[in-house]
Amino acid sequence: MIGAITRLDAMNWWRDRRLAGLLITVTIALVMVTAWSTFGDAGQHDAQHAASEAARDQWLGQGDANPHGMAHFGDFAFRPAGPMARLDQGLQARLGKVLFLEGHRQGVPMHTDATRAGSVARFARLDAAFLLQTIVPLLLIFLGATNLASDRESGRLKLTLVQGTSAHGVLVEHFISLLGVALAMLLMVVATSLLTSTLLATNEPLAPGRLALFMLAHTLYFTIIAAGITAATAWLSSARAALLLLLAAWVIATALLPRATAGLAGALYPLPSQDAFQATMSAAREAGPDGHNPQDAELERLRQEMLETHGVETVEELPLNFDGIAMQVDEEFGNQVWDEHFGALREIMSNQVAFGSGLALLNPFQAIDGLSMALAGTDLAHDLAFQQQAEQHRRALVEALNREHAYGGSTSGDWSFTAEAEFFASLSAFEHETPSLQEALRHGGLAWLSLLLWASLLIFALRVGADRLERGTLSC
Amino acid sequence: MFEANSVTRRFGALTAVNQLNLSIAAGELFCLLGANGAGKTTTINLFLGFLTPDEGHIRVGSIDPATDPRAARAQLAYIPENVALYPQLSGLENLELFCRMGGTPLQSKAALALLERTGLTAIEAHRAVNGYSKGMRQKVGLAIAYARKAKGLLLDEPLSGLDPSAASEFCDELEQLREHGAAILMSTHDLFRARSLGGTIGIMRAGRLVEVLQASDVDGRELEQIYLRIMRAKPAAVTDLRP
Repeated sequence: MIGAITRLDAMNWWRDRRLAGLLITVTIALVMVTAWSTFGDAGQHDAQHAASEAARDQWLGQGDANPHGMAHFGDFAFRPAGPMARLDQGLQARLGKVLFLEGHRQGVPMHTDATRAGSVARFARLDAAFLLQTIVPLLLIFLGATNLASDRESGRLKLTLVQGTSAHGVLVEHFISLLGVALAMLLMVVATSLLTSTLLATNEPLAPGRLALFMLAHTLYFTIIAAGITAATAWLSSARAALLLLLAAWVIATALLPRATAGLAGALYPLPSQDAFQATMSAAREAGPDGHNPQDAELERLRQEMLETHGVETVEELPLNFDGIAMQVDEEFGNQVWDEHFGALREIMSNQVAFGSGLALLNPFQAIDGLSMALAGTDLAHDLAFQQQAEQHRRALVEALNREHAYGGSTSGDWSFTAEAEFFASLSAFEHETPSLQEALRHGGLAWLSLLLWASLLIFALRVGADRLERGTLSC
Repeated sequence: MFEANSVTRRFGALTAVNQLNLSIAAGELFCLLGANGAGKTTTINLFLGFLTPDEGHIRVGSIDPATDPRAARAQLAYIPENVALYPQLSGLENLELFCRMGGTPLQSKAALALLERTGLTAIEAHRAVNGYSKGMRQKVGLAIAYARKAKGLLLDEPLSGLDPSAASEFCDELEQLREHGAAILMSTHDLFRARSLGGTIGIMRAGRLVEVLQASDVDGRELEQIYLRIMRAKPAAVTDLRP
């Protein structure tokens, strides 16, 4: 008996022109989208590499230059997409991948829309994860809602059970058929990505650990979908009722609940608008020292302290360039303001993400959505890590430039001072370090729990449904 | 093979089967007559283990289908009023599939021989079932029953909608199965076929088996009169008609 119903399902789907057409269409879409993503990623990787090299060349090409001038000349921090982004672009497209690093000025956070619409942003893009998480379940609903339910309606199920087949066996085989289709799609996505990467000779293979967990998470998700569809067809008396229920569940899970979650998170933990955030930051910044203003009261106090310390009358007599010191004081105050305001912003974002993670317990789609982005390295946490690394790099760079300005051999007021090109060459370019897998999974506990709970719940429903079919308490 | 002792089955306020006593031995054919809703299908479902009795005991051989439906079904073949097959598959593929599901896979040649035995030609056997007439589907159902080599057959109005020729062929096949020792319980509205098949005839009304007689003891006209008398009797009088 083993496999007879699974083979039958496959045969029925293949012989039904509409279902076969649907299967072929989704398969082609998955292959094309995955191949296109890998192709696009390779192109972007090359472009980013070229831009990064050009930026470095420009930096080095300045030759001997004034350190503070170089702080304003600035540098760029590029965030590599990472190989897993070929499977799930996540929020990357909305959050950006480049930050301009300059003295006195931190990279601007542009998260408001993205954070609020994090889950819904799925609909704004087309990648393998979108197809796997939303379109494949829809395909499974069309494939599965009719097989067992129509068997019940027609009386075939009764005839099947009379052959001695157990209802458990029937349901398990229908479940395996659906899960098999979904896993075949998942494997095809991974194979297409690997093959395209090989053909394009990209140097970044899919990270094995992240890929394995990506596949495990999707396998759990598909288990939920396949068990849910089979359980619905076992419990409901007609194919029409099962199809309607499953389509309603699909709409609620993939569209309504994510939007409601984003809306609620935004209402409970509101983020300031971009303009309001910048205005508050500017106001706070103006209250502190201004390194470019010789009349600044706080800098005047520092100036007097230094004059007393060195026992001289004027800053020009100091054995250092006070302008460099003033710039660093200005910079450090700016950093404090940034840490305070951006820290508050991060806390709001963390609260929104935590709220969304909590509601993922109710909705396996939101759970897989978050997990998939985290494993692909394209979620908000990875973006914040990039921003933090870029900001640390910016601070170290500006501090080195200010130190050179202050102690490199010039005197106060000498803005014509130039440091040698070798000094600028010794300042390394920004290199993004992808957070570790453990770090990526740090916030994923509830999502894994959601997937496991839903899978267990629906397998239990499937089992009870089978028992009831066997005993006749559900009509067959 | 089939035993029902004081079996009652209710659906809410409705008593579908009421104190049913029935015994069908191997090689015996029992025709259940009765109007729609008399309890014939419920009786068959009780033997199949799809329903459990509220009172009394059911046995298929020595097995209680209420506690072990799969073991009971392993001894049974079942042909419903409309044999529902997989429309995309051919008659031959359907037969092979149901045999595989029953754990007794058949070679294509043997399956084809079974279908031909029921009267389907090889060409018809290879055609998709969605082009089959009801009679042809019933023949596939009969072939499935043959293949199971079951000790007991439960037939739920299998003659309904069959043309006289197909019904006659079907009854001939049943007779062969009975001669090979199968116990057969068939519900039907067809008084003529019930009598011509021989064996025992039971008439149900409102869940009660109110008349049991031997087909050989009555002619067609007598059977019709008994049946009509039972059907036309006032409900309160039905219990008085019990043998």
